[in-house]
Amino acid sequence: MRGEHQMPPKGQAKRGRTEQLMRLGHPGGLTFALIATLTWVCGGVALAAPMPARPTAVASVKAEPDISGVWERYPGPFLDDDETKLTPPPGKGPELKEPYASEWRAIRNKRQAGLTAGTPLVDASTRCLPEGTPGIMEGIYPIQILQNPGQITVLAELFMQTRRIYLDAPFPAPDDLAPSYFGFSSGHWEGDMLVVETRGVQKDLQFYDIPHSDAMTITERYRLIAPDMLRLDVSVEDPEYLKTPYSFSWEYKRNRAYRIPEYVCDHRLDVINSDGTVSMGLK
Amino acid sequence: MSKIRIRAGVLGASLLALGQPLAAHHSFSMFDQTRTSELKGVSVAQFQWANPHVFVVIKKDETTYTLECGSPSNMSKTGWKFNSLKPGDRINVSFYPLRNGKPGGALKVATLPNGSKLDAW
Repeated sequence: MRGEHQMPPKGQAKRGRTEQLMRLGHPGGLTFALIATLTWVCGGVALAAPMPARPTAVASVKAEPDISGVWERYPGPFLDDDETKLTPPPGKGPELKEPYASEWRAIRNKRQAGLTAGTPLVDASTRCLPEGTPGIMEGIYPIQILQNPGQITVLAELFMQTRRIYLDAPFPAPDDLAPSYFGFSSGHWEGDMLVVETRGVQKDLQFYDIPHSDAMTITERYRLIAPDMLRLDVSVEDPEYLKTPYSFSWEYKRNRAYRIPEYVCDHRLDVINSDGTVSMGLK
Repeated sequence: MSKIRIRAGVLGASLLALGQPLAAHHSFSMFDQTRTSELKGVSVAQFQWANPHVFVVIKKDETTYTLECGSPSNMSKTGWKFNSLKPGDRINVSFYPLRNGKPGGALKVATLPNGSKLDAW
């Protein structure tokens, strides 16, 4: 994907919203809809008969699925309550190339040793830094999805993070894609599935300590598997660091009652020590 | 990443949220989950209701204990409110003590002046 710029995301033809709507299972398209409507209206006037209660062709045009609302991971994340055990990454974990695989294992082992000793090591979460992409979608605390024309926005309770997904948007040129926590996300609908591609995640943002290059591409596929159940399949590709794409899935349940509270990382008790361990500060 | 996992007891009382970790931004491995300490008739010095952690500061004689809790969302699920405690309240507490022996821990249960018990973890 490197060097590609001002191009639509992978596998996506540039298209407008109207075209996309008409594409969804209606081969007759707009022309058919207009003719059908005009015929129906004119016929009704000529015959001076009561208008039949039947759907028009226009009304049957399918809208995009509604994935808006507050979502919680389901089942909930981190069901194991043993605090001395390091949480593994989702799925089967990454298949990293060497020497990255050995380096990653060493970091993970060091973290495990810290937990065993009761002296956890500092991480981005302890510093209240954004989880970025794809971590925000892990939904440790609930997330809220907003759907607007041209943009889908993800708001996370944890650290009050904001992630913007631009629909049908070409990626910026490489020189205009400054690395960031969330990278640049471009999404499009493929039928009932929202496909989002993300590039430009900064290298020091390491999901479960997993290193990556500037060439990393994250592809997410969202679809409703029940009226209030959302499934996300994630695939991370990085030809420089990964032997094979790293894939995993998360599922969420819509919660129509929960209101996300603010989450400002003040009033912290924890203290980050000079040796990189975290301990609780006492009042 | 170090995160706290949800407790079954918290889930059972959940009406709004289905499953959130108690806390997300640092590990609770600093607390000894194999032991429970209890203090009775202690005085509340401070009750802080805010993310990332609610915490309670209590005084027992000349010693000040700092007790960390989950997030406000988690605490709400078991009946806690932002004004459940106020300075000067006399309460009983049970908590997982700090593994390094310092006066603090993770609050498990607080028994309020009116006798009601509130689970914190």
